[in-house]
Amino acid sequence: MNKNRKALALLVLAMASASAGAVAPLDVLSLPAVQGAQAQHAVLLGITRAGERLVAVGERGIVLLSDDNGATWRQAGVPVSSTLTAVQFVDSKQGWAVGHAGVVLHSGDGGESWNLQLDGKRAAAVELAAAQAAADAPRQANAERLVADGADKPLLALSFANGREGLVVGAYGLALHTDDGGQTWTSWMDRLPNPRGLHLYAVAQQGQQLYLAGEQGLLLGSHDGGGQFSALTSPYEGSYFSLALEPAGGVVVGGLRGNLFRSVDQGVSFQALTNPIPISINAAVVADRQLLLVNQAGGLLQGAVGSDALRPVALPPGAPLLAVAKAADGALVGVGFAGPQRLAAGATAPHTSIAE
Amino acid sequence: MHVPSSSAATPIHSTLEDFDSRSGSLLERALFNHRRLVLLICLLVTALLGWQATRLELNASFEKMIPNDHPFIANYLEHRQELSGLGNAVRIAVINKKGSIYDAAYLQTLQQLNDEVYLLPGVDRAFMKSLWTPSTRWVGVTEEGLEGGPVIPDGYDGSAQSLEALQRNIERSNEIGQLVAFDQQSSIIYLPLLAKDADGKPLDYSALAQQLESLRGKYQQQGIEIRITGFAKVVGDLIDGLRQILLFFAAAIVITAVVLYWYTRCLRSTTLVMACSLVAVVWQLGLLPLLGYQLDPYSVLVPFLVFAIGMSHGAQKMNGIMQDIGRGMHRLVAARFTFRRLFLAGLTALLCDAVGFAVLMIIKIQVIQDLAVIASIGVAVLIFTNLILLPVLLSYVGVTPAAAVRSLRSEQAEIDGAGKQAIWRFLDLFTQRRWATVCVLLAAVLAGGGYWVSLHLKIGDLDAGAPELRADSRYNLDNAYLTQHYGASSDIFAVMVKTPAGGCSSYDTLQRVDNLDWQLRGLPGVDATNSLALLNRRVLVGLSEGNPKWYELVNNQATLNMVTAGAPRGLYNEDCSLLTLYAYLTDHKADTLGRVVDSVQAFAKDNDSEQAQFLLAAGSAGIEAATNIVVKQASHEMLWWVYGAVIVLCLVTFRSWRAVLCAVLPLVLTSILCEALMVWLGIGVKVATLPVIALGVGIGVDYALYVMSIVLAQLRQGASLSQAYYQALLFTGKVVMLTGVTLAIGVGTWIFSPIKFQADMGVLLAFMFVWNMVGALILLPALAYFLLPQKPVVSQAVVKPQTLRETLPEPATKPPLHAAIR
Repeated sequence: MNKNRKALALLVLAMASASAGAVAPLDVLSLPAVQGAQAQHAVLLGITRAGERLVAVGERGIVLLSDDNGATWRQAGVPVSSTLTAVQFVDSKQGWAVGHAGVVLHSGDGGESWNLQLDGKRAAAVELAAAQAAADAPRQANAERLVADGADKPLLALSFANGREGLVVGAYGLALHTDDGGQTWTSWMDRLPNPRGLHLYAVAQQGQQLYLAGEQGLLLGSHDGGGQFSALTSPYEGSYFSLALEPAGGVVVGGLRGNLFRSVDQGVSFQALTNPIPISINAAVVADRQLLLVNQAGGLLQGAVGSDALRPVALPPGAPLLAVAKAADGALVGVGFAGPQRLAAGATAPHTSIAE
Repeated sequence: MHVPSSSAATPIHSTLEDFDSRSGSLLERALFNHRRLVLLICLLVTALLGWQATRLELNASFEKMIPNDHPFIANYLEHRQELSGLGNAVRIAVINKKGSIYDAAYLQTLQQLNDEVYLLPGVDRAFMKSLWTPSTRWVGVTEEGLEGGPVIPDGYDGSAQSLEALQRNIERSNEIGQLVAFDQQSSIIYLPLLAKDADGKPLDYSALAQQLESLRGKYQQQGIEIRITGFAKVVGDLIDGLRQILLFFAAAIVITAVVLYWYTRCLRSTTLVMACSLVAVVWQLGLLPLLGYQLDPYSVLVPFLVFAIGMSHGAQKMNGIMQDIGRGMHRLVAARFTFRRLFLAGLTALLCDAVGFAVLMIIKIQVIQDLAVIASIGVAVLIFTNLILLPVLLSYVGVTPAAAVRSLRSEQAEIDGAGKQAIWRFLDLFTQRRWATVCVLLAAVLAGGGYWVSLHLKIGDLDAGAPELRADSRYNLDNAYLTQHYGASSDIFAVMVKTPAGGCSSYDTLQRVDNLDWQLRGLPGVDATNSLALLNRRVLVGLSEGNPKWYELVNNQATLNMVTAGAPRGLYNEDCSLLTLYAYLTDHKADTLGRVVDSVQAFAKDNDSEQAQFLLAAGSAGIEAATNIVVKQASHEMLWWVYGAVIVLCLVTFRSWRAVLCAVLPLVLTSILCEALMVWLGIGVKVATLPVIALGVGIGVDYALYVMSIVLAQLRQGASLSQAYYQALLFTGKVVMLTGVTLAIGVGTWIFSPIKFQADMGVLLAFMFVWNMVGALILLPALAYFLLPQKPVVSQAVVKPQTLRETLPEPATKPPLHAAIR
């Protein structure tokens, strides 16, 4: 091939890319979240407390902050625009959020600003490096697929024990751990007895006890803070979406079609809880000795810690709930398909029929 | 216009024998020497066109009300086949008065209604949707995977069990807020309509609306309540309203008859003028089906105008003949003289009105163009009926002698030195320094204030629901119900996204659609959105066992393709080359629409590529946005044209720019005040109000022409302004007032129309006609005081009325007084 032809070909290529690419391709990892009034009505998937403040995360990289217990919200700046699925703060300043495209975001200022610590591509590279180091051929092949797919897999849950140590888990068995506050990440995919690469939907930790729940009845537990995991005997074959640990050591898992189980022996055996509504449990949280569960229809269930009876809570009219948290003033604040919503403070008050 | 003919041209022959029947123009001889033939022809034409008029149809086509040349509409029309009837659909909400929709009796009624509307002509059955159509499906997650099916469960038998299954299916179907109300007490039957029925005939909205009404009547007795919205229903209700318009027409006839009788006190000639004006209306209505026109809610108003214009011109004719007869002339001679004097003048006046109508042709919206054509036909018809038929008929019938004498009374009184009538004395004040100054200053203040208010004039419809109908009309109550109980509003703005064939599901394109979707949701006035991108988010949640953490447009082409393959119709087309993004708006105010248009256009500028082009606009709101743009542009353009035409006409007639200013400035003031009135009444500039200013100015300039032409002629003869104006008042002032009043009454009756825009037009036109009249009688002389050069008047006594009269050119409406004086 002569030089002219090459030059011509390059020119044509350049022109083609110039005309077709008058617009740059979009990448949620480099596009910051759009700031706007519509964020107030965004689909929000997670909510937590950072000191007195409430922090909620959701679609399109939206993070909302409320300093008045959920009455008003403002949007924080976020460097990515993929859906954020979960958020946790270890104190009033330090917190992490995880989401689609494998993002892990860190905030050191109570959610005001966020920086990207990990994304799906880097996570895949970490896993591939680990697989190569371990010289594990099947794992390596799997990791190469991860790299080839790019950042299309979500992280779905996270659990930080303190400002340094944390575990993030997600779809297809994705699991990464940090012990330096997110500076560096280690793949834990090999530690988890999850040979089919099932989605990991929930993670919870109390001292050295660490539990994971996921697709198709997947239940994993570790009694040494994550050193070693073992598969727990699942009482149910359907998927689990939520995990909550009770102060006395009870482990509650909730899943498809409203199935709910509690273990009081660190996962050795599970007993079914009575749930009057056969709708999947998407979120579970323990607050003020109350177990709060949000189901897929957006309804809220409540029961005393340790009790096996659950009662639906009457909610003010509004869009279906997806997650709840307790504000500093004791009020329940929910997030859902149309943004945050401060629920009646009385929802947990003794005069409602819920408290036992 | 009323350019007076030479005074020497009219010899007086009070008896028929003295009259030379070969005198006069060719046309006059042709008409008056063959009066029987003329009458016979007119009779035949009236019979023929009267018969034709019975074939006249009332309709309002969707396509006619939108600006087809606008790029938005061109885009819409190009892709309308792929938008599955988005532009035109009827929604029938069926409400169970006894409780929720999970009720066997309700569902049975719904099914019957569903089956009946399915068979209505013009329904696009493939895309019809209700709980009972198989296209309404649910999708659910089980431990085993996905399941789905029609929302009405297989083997539905009305039992409690199957009702429970139905409720479960509906909750899983994503139809709450779409087909099922939030309170689950009603559900919708969605009927997309075809522009043409199976036989290729355009959809008959009137028939469809009637069928819907009769279905409503039939089923409402079965414990349910029915509420219907949609353009077809609006049009149907409009056509119903048109029938009531006939009543107003009758009222207008009676009132103008009374006014005319009060003016002439002659039953014979009043009846005659009325008859001729009605004949004009019959001819006009008969010509429409012959020329292939239909009456729509806009053009139905034209007969009122034609009738009113006919009345005022007829009154002038009659006035002339009456005075001639009063002076002792034979009625045939009087008729011929009047014809001779006034045919050209009347013709010019009618042509002048026609200019007002013709200017409307520049607005590229067919209903307005039709209105212009139909009005022009009406004015053309008037030339025959009121300028020809009327004098011919008068030559047979004559007038009541007492009335003929009476018509000369005030003139006689003045000649006898009895002094001016109070009204003329008052108007004469405006030719003097003090009153003229006050008047001009007041007008300037009004113009300034009016202009300031008119800056708040809005483009487009300002009220919720169908602004054509009154806020408390059944349709608007129905519409409010639907807006309240269902998520999606009826104001839909659709953006079309064009991609290469098969490219509609590519990640990059969907991501852009998703971004636009989100951008639009940030705009005030955007209630909700829908797009394939949004569907992808939702379906991925469904595919992931309903877990909302999967609410994302994932960068995974295989997933996107799979979701797209299962997506419902309406979000993309057959060959995956066109996506539709819907924005549901809270209202269709111009500000809201403008914001959406600006936002989408800015987005398109940054994101258009070969892979995806973002095209505006479809949906009711998209079409309205385009209409607003055209209307806004046309409202300016039209003013230039109508004033341009009026100025040219005045220049040709007056040959003095100062006189043109005197004639046109009062019109400008009226136009400004009319806009201020629109702001005050909350009326926006829209298709319905656009013609008002053109009609108002086109007809309003008549008054100025009547008055100014006499004033100018007098001034050129050396009269003072006061004298000139007084003469003008005597000759034409009465007719100007009569015209103003009859026209205002003709349009004023519309105020009681159930159709809101007709009421709006009525108010505005009546205002313009009356205010233009006031302007011509008050502001015009005041302006003339400052603008027209006056020759110094030697002495009042020199120019006595009688001498003045003799030096006068032939006035438009009065014959010379020789006979009477003699």
